[in-house]
Amino acid sequence: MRAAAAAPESGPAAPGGHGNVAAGLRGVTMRYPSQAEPALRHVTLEVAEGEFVCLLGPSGSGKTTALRLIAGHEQPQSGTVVLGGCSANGVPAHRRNVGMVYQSHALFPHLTVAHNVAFGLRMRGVARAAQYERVAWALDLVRLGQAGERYPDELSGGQQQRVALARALAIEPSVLLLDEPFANLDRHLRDDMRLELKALQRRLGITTIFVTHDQEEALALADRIAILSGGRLEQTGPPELVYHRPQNAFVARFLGEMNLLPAALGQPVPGSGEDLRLALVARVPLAVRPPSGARRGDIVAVCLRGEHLRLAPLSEVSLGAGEGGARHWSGTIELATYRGAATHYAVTLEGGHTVRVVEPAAAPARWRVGDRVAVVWIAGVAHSVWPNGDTPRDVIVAGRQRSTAGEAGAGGAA
Amino acid sequence: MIAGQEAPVQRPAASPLARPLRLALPPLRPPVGGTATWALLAPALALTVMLLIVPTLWLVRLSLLESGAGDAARFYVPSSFTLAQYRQVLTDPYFGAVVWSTVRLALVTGAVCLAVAYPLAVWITRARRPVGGVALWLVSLPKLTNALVVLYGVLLLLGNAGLLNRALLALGVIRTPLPLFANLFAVVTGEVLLVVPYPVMMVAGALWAGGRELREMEEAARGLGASPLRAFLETTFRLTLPGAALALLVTLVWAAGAFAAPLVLGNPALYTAAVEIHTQTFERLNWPLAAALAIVHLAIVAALAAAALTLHGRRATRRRTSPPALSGLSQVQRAKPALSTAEGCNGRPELVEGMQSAHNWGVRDGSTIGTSSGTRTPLSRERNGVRAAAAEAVDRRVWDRTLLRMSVAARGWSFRDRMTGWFGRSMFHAFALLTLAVLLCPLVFSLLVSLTPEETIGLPAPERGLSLRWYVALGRDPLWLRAFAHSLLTAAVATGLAVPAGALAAAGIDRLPDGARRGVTLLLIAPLFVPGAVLGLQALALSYRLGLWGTPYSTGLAHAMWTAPLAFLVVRAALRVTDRRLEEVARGLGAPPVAAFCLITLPRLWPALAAAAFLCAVMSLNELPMALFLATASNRTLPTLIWPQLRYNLTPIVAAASSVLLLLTIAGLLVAAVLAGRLVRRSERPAGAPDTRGDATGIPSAGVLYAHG
Ligand SMILES: Nc1ncnc2c1ncn2[C@@H]1O[C@H](COP(=O)(O)OP(=O)(O)O)[C@@H](O)[C@H]1O
Ligand SMILES: [Mg+2]
Repeated sequence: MRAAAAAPESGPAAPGGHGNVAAGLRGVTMRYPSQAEPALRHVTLEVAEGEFVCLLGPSGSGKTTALRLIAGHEQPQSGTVVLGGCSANGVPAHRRNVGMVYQSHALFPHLTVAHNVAFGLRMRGVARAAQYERVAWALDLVRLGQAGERYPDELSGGQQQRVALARALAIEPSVLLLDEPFANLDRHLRDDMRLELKALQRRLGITTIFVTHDQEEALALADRIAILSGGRLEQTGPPELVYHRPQNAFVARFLGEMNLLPAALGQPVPGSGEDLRLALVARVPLAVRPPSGARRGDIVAVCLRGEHLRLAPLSEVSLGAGEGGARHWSGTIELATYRGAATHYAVTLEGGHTVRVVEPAAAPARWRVGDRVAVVWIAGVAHSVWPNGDTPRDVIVAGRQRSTAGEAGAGGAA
Repeated sequence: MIAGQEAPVQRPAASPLARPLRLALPPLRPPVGGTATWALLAPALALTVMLLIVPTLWLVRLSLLESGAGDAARFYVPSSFTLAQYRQVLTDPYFGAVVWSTVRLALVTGAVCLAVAYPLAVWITRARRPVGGVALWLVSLPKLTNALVVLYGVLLLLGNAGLLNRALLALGVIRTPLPLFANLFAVVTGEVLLVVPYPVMMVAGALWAGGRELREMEEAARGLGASPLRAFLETTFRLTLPGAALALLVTLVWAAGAFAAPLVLGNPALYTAAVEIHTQTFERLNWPLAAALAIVHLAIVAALAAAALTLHGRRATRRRTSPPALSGLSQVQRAKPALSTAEGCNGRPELVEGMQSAHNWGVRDGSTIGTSSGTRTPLSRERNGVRAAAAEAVDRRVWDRTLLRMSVAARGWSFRDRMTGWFGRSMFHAFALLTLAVLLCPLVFSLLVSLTPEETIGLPAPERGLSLRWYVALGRDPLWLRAFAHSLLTAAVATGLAVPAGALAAAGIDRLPDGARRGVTLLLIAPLFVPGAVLGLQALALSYRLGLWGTPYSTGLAHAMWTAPLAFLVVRAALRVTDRRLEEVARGLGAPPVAAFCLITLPRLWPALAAAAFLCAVMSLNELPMALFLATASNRTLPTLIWPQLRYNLTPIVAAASSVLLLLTIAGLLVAAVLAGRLVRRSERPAGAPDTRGDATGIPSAGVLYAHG
């Protein structure tokens, strides 16, 4: 836990040091003719050769649109779609050599599995023998070697999705696009398919953009995560970085069980490498990493992850512990939700804020609604973001707001 | 291995069209209360049985009687029996020619219709929102207005002194008039204009039903390297072929029943069975021969329908349409031992590792295709560096083989692509707009002609201005006024009977068990598939026996039977988009079934009922063959009065009368459209529910698909 809160090692949000931009968008704005609002606003997302990027966002945030732009099924109003380092604007979809896997798998129902996989090769005029070998290779890749003669509707959902993957891989695409490919599968199958996909991607070294609204999926798979909301790119970076150092309130709230509490920045904390500030968070002083450009006296939203809070009996925590001791608040349990691996509590602090606490199943005590408890901050430095990122009201009424945001996050994860 | 564990998911549908127009909401099946259900269905069934089935049987009997022709007072000799009529129909070369011209007209019309309708439907479904909808309305207009208006317009255009010839002569393109009239070309043109709305609706319905699924498939094909046209042909086109076959069925059935077009635009050599039935009935007064002809005519239609249905069935079930190139693949694959060693490995921790080595195995197999490698070791848990390297080598080798080609393909897009794309799109738009123009041309011409100030037929000359004199003449002529009154009375009778019967049947039909539902549905919509001339002869025979002959009620009753299927289809479509779970909610809150229906479902059905009423009225107002068979001096409707004038005595008053019908129809349709629009807006369609515009416009495309699909 402590380690997790420490600064993640990785640095830049730009594509990793692999070199060339294999695929991406540069300053792309795209509006559907029938829509008043653009589906994407000024999005810049560059994916390096061999990189696995997850595009994560609530539904309707423009993820599919981004993929369709790269695949060439839509054209941007402004900005550039990049493929292989060059602009691909205006290049028709069938000349792009981009592999796409749809949530609905979009297999051709009138063709056998083998012919589905061979379709792209046939379109390229690949010789029969080479088609043959290639199809066998691709089907083996997804371990459906024996299913060549069957029709898509004779396969299970997971198998269909794997055929779709084989079909996309058979053309050796310069970039593989996956649009929520596993959303229709049940949970265990989805977990298996994820691992399989990741292993395949590693092995083939294929540049991949994976769209999902499921944050667990994104965190598990990605080399880099890009978070979209309302057509805007909110943040990109490695999963740990995005998870632990969100750049704004939206990202902070979107991933995991996050509590945002308002606090004014105080004096610098001496002796640390970073620029840390002391802030009174609901009357408890914490070392806070301020957002860039913040000065003393600014109000920021301090990010307290549910997993970094623990509950303890009030009697056990010595009030006003010394410098090294744990920080804590006292409060009342409002709600307890059993989740198997953990129990989620909503606790109303004395100041009136409500925070969500995630207690692992191994925690010594179980609490009931109405219990008076101490909420202990077990991590070191707390991250913070500007409260008025896009919705200033967030933090103003943080007490109420927190619980609903927590709920939304939980819903997304489930 | 891991995935070998997954439970077989329930079979997804083979093609989006294997289940055309199925709605997302399951039809509500209240417990089947036998008598209540049959009571709901009774009126519509009674109409069909009394006015279709019984007369058909009587027609069979009639065809076996001896002819009373020659003896002016008698149409047949009662209580006799002979097969002479059939013998004559089947052996006489004259009737052979009639049968042949009927079949030929149907086939040619069917082929032309499909060739025109399919691309037009594609264009409509891909046009922007309002454009596609408006285009669909425009397409349906000729069918819903009077057939005579359309034929009249074609006559004006194609006749020897027709506008087309005159224009071409004036422009100096031709020296002598082209033979555009009184030949097969003219008849097919007229018949295509009359029939083509149906296949357009049906194909558009199929495309809409395929919706997002089809679009994604086509996109996937493009992403795999197919050019736009190729992608369309490989996916959407193939998958909508069953729908197109159904459209062909409807086209054939209607074209085989052609009556007015051959008479107005053709010559005696082109007269069809329907024309011959009319001649035998009224000119030769040989009812038994007419009845035998009607039975043969029904048989022709049934044969054509069966042929189209077979085509549809083959299309829907035959899936091995893939090119044979790869068909040996799976045999080779099967020769390999199954990759089942790790089948049971569903444990979590070793998953990744197991998977990776499994992959390696798979790849090794890929490299040795055709030779069965029997040396399969159980899943090894250790990493095997050699094996991994080999796998990588295979990856590279297989990839390299086509790499060159692919990258060329990727760079090969060019100016040519753009030009072919641009050219293709332009041609497509031009085709669609031209077709729409041709479809509407006859209507516009007859409207314009009705405004001429001259004594003779022709477009109003700009310098003489427009005049309403022919409308005034129409309004002063008691003959026309009486016909107008008869038309309204007939329409009122038809609507008053058809809508309640159809609506009740629609409410009852979903309560039947599957088999019975299919059968009853077919029976209820059967009148739509019986040629007009056959229906007319039956109606004549029936009303003669019932003593209704010569009253407007005889036509009204026949029209009620004929339009009831329409009301049935429209209301059923509305019931299916109306969320009947709301009724369940009401019942859960304590409302008894009838109250729940009346309080919740009925209010939401009013627009559909009104739309059905308007459509039935419009159809009845414009119906010709039945009205013609039943017409006497005391019950002529407007179309039957226009009819002889059209054939023998063309004055602009006919254009005025046609235009009155046209405007009445448009007004009725607009009201129906507004009401249907309100219905659709009110019942929020669940995502993915197909468009019901086809039903809202009264063209029973959806119904036909339901019935056969
Ligand atoms: N074909 C379309 N026509 C019009 N608007 C669309 C279309 N596809 C998506 N949109 C709109 O664009 C926005 C982004 O959609 P999408 O990219 O599908 O989101 P996501 O995949 O993240 O759920 C949404 O507001 C959606 O309503
Ligand atoms: Mg999406």
